[in-house]
Amino acid sequence: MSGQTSIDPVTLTMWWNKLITIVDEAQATLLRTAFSRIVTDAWDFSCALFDAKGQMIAQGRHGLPQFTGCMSFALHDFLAEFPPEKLEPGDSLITTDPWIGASQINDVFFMTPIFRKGRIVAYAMSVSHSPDVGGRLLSADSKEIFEEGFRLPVIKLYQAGKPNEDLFRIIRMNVRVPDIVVGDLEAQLAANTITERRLQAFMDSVGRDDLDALFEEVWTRSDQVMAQAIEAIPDGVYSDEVETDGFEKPLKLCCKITVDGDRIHIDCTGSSPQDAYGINTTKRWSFAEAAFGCICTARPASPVNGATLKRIDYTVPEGTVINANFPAALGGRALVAMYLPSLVIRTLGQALPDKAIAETGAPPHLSAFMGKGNSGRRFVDILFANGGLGARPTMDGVSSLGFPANISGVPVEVTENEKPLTFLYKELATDSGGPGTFRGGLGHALAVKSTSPETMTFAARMDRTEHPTIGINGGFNGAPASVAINGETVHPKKTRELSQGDVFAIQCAGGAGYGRPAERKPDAIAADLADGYVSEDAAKRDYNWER
Amino acid sequence: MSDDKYIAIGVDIGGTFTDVVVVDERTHAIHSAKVLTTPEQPENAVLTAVDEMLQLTSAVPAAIRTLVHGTTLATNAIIERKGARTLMLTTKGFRDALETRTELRYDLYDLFIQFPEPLVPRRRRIGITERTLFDGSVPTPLLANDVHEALTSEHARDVEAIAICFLHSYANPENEKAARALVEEVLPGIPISLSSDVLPEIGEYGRASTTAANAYVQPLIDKYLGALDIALKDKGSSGAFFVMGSNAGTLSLDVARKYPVRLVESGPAAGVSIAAHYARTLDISHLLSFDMGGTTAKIALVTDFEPARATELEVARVKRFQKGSGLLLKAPAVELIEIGAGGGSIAHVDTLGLLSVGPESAGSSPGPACYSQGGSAATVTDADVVLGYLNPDYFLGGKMQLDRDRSIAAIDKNVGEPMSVSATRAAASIFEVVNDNMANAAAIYAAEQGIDLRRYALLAFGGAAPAHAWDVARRLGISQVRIPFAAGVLSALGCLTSPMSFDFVFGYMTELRHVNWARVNQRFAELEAQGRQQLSDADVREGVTVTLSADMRYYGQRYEVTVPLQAHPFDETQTDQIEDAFYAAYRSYYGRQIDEVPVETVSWRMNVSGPRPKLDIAWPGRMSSSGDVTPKGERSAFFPGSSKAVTCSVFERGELPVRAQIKGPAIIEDHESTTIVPPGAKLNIDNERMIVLDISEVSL
Repeated sequence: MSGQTSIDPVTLTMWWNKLITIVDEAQATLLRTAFSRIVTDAWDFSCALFDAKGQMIAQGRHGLPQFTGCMSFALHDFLAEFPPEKLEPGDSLITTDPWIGASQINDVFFMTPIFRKGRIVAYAMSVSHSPDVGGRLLSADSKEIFEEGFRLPVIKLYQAGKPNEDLFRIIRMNVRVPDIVVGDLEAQLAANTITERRLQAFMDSVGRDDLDALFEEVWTRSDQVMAQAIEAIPDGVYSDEVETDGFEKPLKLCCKITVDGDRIHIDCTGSSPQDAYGINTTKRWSFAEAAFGCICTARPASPVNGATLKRIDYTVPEGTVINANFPAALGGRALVAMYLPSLVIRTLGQALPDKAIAETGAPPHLSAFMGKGNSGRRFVDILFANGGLGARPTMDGVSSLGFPANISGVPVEVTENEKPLTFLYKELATDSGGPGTFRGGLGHALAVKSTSPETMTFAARMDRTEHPTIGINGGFNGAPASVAINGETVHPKKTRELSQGDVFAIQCAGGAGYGRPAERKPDAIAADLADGYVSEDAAKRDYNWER
Repeated sequence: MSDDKYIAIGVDIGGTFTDVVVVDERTHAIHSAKVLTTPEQPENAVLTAVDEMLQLTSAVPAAIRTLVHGTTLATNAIIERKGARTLMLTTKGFRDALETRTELRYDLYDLFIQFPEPLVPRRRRIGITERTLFDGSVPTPLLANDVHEALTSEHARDVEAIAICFLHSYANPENEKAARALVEEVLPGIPISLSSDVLPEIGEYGRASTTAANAYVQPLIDKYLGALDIALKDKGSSGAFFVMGSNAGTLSLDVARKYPVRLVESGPAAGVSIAAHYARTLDISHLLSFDMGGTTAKIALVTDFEPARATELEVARVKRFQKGSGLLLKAPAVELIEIGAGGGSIAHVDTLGLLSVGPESAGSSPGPACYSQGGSAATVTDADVVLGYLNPDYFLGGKMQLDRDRSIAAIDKNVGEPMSVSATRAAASIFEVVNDNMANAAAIYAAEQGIDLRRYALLAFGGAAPAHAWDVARRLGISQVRIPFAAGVLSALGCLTSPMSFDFVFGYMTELRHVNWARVNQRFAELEAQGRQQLSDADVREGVTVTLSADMRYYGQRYEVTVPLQAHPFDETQTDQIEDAFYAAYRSYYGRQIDEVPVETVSWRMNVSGPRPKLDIAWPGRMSSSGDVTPKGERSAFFPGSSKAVTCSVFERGELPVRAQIKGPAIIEDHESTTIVPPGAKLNIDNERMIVLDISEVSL
């Protein structure tokens, strides 16, 4: 029934909700059945629904917002390799090519075409971070993509409902934890199957054999809303830049934003060249991070989907650290790219001072580690910890919050049950939040001691040890991050061995302050002192506080 | 039941009204009343209501056999931050678990996101030198001096409750107990909540949050229940006094005073309890309970005659109805889906030109436009008035006059004009969207649980539900809708249908193949003894049931499924069987199983319940053999999908005899609610005087 006249607004409301609900359900399935810690704890996954034209119509309400961007483009790469005439019901395709996907070799993009009456009416996609893809431990100090594991081009994992057994054998042979890796692939299949099944049932219930009219309406309206949101930003050219620690020397990220009517252009020309170590990202991922910053600041009043991105143009020269060429290493993708949302927010803040917040203590701490668990089984895991959210124009930042990636903290008790580690402390770091009229959120600090008789490998992945978050409107910077082993400061991005009794300690960066500290309410300073968010010394130094 | 004790009283203390039902167990007569809640001293409303009830039944207080009550007191104390000044002792270096929560954002794009303040501020969370490991070993015994310093510190002044939550105390409570002994010496008489006692489960945030909440509400609940107990005794009642728990089981007074965090969903649980009761008495194994009031709708599932249960819940959300924005309580509860959809929900047209309804509500003040109390927003109740469902002259039995013109004006202005449609069309859209919101929420939940809702019947109660029930049911593929008699006091009645019940849990995380069964058996034996003791203290010794389950997952996952277990003690010969039970449970959730990955246990659960009380009620009313009924009038109403008004016969509910049959379109009114029977639907009245709607042939 394509070409049908437009859908009335009430029906549209209900059907649009239905589409998001379908994707939410697929995501819930994936989250609950996945093994990879980056999925279950860092929510590094997403599910989406695409129309027959390959436009991303709906994404789940949770999951990693950055994937929206990546998935929108990835589907076209799938279709370039396998156009609709080469697809049949029961097919599912995957790829782990980071230049197609999300800039990390572990991210498995999994696509399933949805057929009805012999025609493709939609596509389901899920992304999930595989627990292992061979190669060395996920780290920032590889120098080529080949060290990081094996890659899969766009390839059919299932054809007409039958598994590609040869491919499964290849995968199993190349990973450390084959059962879990295959278990996750099946979880992705299950998620896509849910999307398909629910969409078919929905079409049954509304008596349609395609949803082209609905998809078109959703697409058009989402685009209109983003256009309105951008139009609300004063036209102009705004620019800013930021320095990051880098691997051996600091890197620079540049950002020039042109707001022109209902379009935004982000130009990152001038950013540092591609790095020799694995802290690079692909253009797709850096765009996703920058676009996320735009969406947070512009706050369109409708659910985010592929159309939300249509009016955000992005320029970044090839061969830069945020548009790295093959065969750059990418394992520490977050360590540079996660500066971008704060940079974009701050830059747009020149136009929208009420909507921009101070810099957040991102990237988070995400050292990977491996060894033998308490059960004697081999494990590969990530020790996550978050920095503080930047202070807002009307309120303090939130302490230890997953931003821009929505990373959850694993309970100490769970980690200690599973892994040969004993925590010495895990607490908010006093004085880490940037002083200001509104204070930045505090970063987490933690220390773990190895209790394993065998050596454990720790691949440190941390930034902001030299570059604290930057305050705005007179707000002060947050405290920097740190990484130490047995009390000695160590390189925050190198892989090391930990022996029994060794102590690995980190502190995450605090969020930056907003507005001049002199204008902070005395009550708020007194409360911070009482609660130990701020020490007496710091209160004297930063706020001229006298008891 | 002894002959001189024949009165059972159910009380549901809500924010505005305290509902009371009394059942005379000799005659099976039932009476009910609503009195205004007295927030400062809630026991006063209860006592007033009890007096009123005793007068009605001409009984003396000594005739009270049992009094069960549900209360929102604990919830309100948390929401309104009126609980105790609480001091929390934690393991040194770990005092922020309560504050850092899961570290997740519930809204991906909101830079101004907020979270509820923890119940215990950081200044009153004090680290103590001590350490227990995951295996229960204690490398660092409690440093007594730290406890003394904490209790005498500046911030400990005037504290009213103490929470103690040390790492891994679920595996060994020794250090927590040692700390408790010290607190008892320094601050004799102060209420103390131990995390190893309140919730010996793995996960320091959930345990700390639950223990803090327990301590926070304890003095208040303790005082209230104590006062009520004494007042009832003073009246001459020696009946048993119970409180409704969030898990739809009742708690003895002593247990409720010790674990008040278990009362947080006490009120709603009573509503779900009545649904479970009807499921059993009507022999409907699958029932969806649908309670729609002024600001929210609550949906709960009764499956195989049992309410769906959750092991955690959230209170005091800072963003309404947004999961993740509230305080986590790991307390056993009925699983409730709460939606911002009620009679007061506000409709508006967004920048996209799309209609949204709720979660903002006009509440009862100013309320819907038709209340004429200054409200100008277009609400669901206004839509119901415009569509002809509600009779402006017979709202609450005529106690409140509604102004239809104000409803039309509000809907025209806020919805009709922006969407360029008539007020009637706009009202029909509001009706559809709010129903769709509720149906969608139920559908998501059902889908997540792998449940097919088409097998369910829908039980509707609460002021607004009977008017909306048929359309919600239709959207879920449900064909039978039931609306019980006395829908307004059902929660109070639910209190009288619940068995005494207590849920225990302990954390023990290990691969199933490595479980030390002696350890599991010992814990279960201790808990069972404790549970039986609780029951026996309340004179319940017969008909006790003990059910066991374990939360399990594949090694390496983060989410568990609950697996039913056979009776303890266990040994390794049962491992295969337990593993198969896990596979079966996993398959039913996710439709697949993985054979190669080992299975891991996380939490072990036990429920100890007494026998379920029998509720035998003779509803007042007429019997009829013919089933013929006469309408009291007629009025026109609009139904979704049709632009023309339809003439509906209007009946007075109280006049409908058992076995009455009516064909839709029709409207059934009483002074509590209005039931809409759409065209094509068939209605009959069953022996419980319940409205039974068959909507399988609705024709719009």
